[in-house]
Amino acid sequence: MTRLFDQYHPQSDRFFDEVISHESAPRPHYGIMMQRFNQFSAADIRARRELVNIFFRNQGITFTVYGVDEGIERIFPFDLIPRIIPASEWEGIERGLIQRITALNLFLADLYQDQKILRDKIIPAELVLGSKHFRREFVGVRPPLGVYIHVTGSDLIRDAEGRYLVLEDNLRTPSGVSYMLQNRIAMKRAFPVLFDRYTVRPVENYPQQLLRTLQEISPTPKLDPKVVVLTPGIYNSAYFEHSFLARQMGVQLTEGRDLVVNNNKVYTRTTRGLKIVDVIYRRVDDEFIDPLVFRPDSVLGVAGLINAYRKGNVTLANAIGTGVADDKVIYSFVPQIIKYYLGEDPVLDNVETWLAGNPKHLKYILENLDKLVVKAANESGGYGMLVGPESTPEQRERFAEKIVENPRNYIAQPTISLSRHPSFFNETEIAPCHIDLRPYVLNGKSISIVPGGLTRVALRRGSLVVNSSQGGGSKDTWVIDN
Amino acid sequence: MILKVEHSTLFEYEEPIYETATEVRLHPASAVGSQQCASFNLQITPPAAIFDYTDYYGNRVHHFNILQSHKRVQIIATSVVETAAQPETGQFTEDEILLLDLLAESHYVRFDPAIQALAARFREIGEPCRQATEICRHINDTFLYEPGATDVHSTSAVVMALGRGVCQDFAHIMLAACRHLGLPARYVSGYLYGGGSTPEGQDEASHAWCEVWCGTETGWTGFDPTHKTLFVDDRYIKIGTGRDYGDVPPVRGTYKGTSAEKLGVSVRVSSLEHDSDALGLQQRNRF
Repeated sequence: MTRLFDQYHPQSDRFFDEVISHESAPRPHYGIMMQRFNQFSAADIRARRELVNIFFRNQGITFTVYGVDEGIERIFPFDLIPRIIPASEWEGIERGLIQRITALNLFLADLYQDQKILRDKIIPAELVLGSKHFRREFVGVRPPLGVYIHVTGSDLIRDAEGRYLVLEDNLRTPSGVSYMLQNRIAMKRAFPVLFDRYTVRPVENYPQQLLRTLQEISPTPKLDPKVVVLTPGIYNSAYFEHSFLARQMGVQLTEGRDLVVNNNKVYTRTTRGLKIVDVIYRRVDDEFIDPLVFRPDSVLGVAGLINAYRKGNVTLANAIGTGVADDKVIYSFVPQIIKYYLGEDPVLDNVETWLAGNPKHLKYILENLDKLVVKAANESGGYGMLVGPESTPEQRERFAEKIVENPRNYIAQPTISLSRHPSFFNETEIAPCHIDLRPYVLNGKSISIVPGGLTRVALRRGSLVVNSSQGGGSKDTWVIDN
Repeated sequence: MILKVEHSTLFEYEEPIYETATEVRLHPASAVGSQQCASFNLQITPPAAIFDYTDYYGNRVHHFNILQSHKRVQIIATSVVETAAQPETGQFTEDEILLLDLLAESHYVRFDPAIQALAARFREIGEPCRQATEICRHINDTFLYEPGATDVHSTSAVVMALGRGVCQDFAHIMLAACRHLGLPARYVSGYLYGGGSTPEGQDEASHAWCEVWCGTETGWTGFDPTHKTLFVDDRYIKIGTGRDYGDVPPVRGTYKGTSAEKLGVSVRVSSLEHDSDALGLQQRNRF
């Protein structure tokens, strides 16, 4: 019988392999895992795959793909081989993320109060003023504890040497944490023996930690502040997650029409009349959250919500206008932001980034479109993006026009050497597939990070795009004690 | 001048509506430039608790909501304002970031090729105040005042293509031209006391014009591209400022219900110069 890992030869100068070193030796923390998978027959794998599929189907774990006509509801592909991160490595990630979130939160507090960083010319004020997520409506509002970003899902990747880099900060309404939680359950069921061979740090208490964070930011200290989740509704791609988290936290899942503002206070409609709401974990974007202040045609929001927030009668998580700090142009300034507010060098580096808004950079970008990844500054989910090496000359030409038309809106990065991890690309065979890592950071009275996070994997062979909307899947992620 | 403004806004519905939420920017600016607001009163029917805050551009915003079903909402703002004939003098300062904000395109103020061509004609004039004056004169001379040609959503690019519009549109054109030339410029929402003799024969009513930052010597200077007089004087009452109309709509709101809305607005600006109220006001001002 051929063993699973006998056929795994990931050697490449361009990519870091998570499991096999450049010297073709298995990395020590993966030893037990490889051994275990090597014991499995094709039938064993199939049986476990089946077990996992049934679990996900029963849970109704799906997501929605935009821009296709049929079957937009999909099961999120799950890969059976877990990603393993030793505690020593995780410690660096954790330190880096705490530093980054601390600095980005100070940055937002500054932008929405005194704007010192702009006056000191660390960041060109035009970039902030021109960011479509800078909310003038929120300037001067002081959120409880001075916290703007309560939930973050930063995307980390590893370069050819295995260094962790931050690819983007998701400071608005990052999703995927429900997959992280479900992946763990699925993995424990399908591989109980393997799971027990490692000391894997638990992720299961994330919903309770999230609830505690949300209670901590209640506008007035209360024994039992009323927390609700606000979802755009069943047509949103992450609706499953919204309802899942509400259920796990034991709080009400609401849509805009379930809430009403009266005399600057927010209420939820219940069968026993209106009940006051203290904290809203909102998964509705700024633009849609209050038709009185933002888009008047939005039916997803609550009219008057922002004024209630301004008055300190309710807290939103995340705050309004956090997107200005995860704008991909502002992203390129995060090292300076960390230095400015904390006087420290970044623990986690950025990916090298060129700004199309800078004439010199623009020239470089246009000349190297076939080598670069170009992204729209304000889009997420892999939309509005050109992957140079995978593009046709026509696509590049069209994209170049868009860039020249609105340079402020584009950035470019080298085709990133996402690290690779063995993954099943069909029922029984594995291949090196590109992965990233999205850890979830909670920020209330203090910052806490769930050990691990969501590892996303590009299951299309050779593809670098891990977004679920673009054919990506995920893996369980184990942070193990050394 | 001492001017009294009575601004009534009436929303009527065929069928009952509910959960009205409304924000109004109707409070005249005070202690800015040469204008003082002596009194302001806001009356809502059906009655509602009124809250207020100051927005990013320094404008006073009042807001209220009505939960129960209703078929009409009336908002009456009454204010007394004292305006000075002579603008303030001295050294002026302004926040550098605000000035940058007022140099960029905004929702209604677009740098389309037509406005770029228009602006280019005035590039040679170096002095900001003269530049603004000539732009203002040009717009007044060449654009046609025609109510109904545009609507509340028309951007400066649309107005450029049409060559006609109302005060709001002319202000947006002027803002676009000034900003494109590097002059910080802001939209002003307010009223004009017509005294029955405005050139185009309009009634005194809600009005819109621009202010251009002419440097530390002159500060913000008002220009009105809609009227031949071009300059802003003590007949103008300023409510507030912003990047464009979108930042200072007098009334904006939402409601729930299926009924369409019928809107009625009436604005009256009168002089209190020889009125006993006015004397009272002047006396109060003295102390």
